[in-house]
Amino acid sequence: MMVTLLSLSALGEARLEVYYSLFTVAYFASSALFRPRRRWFDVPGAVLFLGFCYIVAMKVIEIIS
Amino acid sequence: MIARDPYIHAGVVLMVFGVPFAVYSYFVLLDVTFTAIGLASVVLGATALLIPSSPVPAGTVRAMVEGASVNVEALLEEYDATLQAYYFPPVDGRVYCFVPLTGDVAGWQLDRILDAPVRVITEVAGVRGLMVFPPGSEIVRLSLLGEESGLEDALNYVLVDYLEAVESVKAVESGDRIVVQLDRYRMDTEFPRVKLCLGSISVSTAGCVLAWVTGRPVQFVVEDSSGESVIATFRVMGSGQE
Repeated sequence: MMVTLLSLSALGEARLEVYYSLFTVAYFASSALFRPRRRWFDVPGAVLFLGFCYIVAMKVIEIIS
Repeated sequence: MIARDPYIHAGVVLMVFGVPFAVYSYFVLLDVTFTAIGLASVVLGATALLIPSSPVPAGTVRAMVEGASVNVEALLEEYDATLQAYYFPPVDGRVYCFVPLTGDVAGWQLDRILDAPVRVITEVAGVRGLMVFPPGSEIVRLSLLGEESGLEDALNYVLVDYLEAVESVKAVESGDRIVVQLDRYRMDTEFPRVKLCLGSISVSTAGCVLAWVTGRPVQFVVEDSSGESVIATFRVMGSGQE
């Protein structure tokens, strides 16, 4: 996640949704790779996924309109 | 002292830093990179909060603990034990139980049990009984619980954080009684003698914690389960009221 942050920042990326989307991808990739045990339901994953869906929906609406 | 979970500390620190930093950066500094740093901290913090410190899956631990009760059940069945057990403060780091077979033990006689040889069948002041090491005994020992821990803190640490056997614990002291409520318990036992004499596994572990923390013999009195909760009553012996 920090590598994503530094890379995007170095590239001069100024859109928050790009950071958010790549954080989501990095989160789920790491989860699939390391399969950490959790005490409870994967709340950060759910929040990231819902936010990601919202961003994608907004982009789709923007393109369609 | 209770061993604190480093993941919870890291999670809280990251969340406490991340949330205000992201909000401040987004609305005041208007800087996307700083906002992203805050966001990343929040995600990492929330993830750290959800990671348990124990590397062994809780399901495996629960299966092993339930398996450990089989021998205790066989022993109690063999000797037709029906009376409630006494949990004794640790000897060599282990809490053990005395299950009377031929009548109850008077409070003043309990200290004599502490001096009795540790063997399966023992007799103290004319009362025959079994000495068993409940599965909770090893759990409490391995959890590195400090003897000076508070009652509810200790129960929470062992049953919620360490064993993940229940979701929350409440304990109320009233005279020589301690009533423990275990909410959303995930560990039960189908062994009737264990349940009758020692309590179900979570309750038995709570008994071990109480004996450890109070430093006094603790008698299991009764447990009552309703829905996803269990309410267990224990009696602390040697407090001058029994």
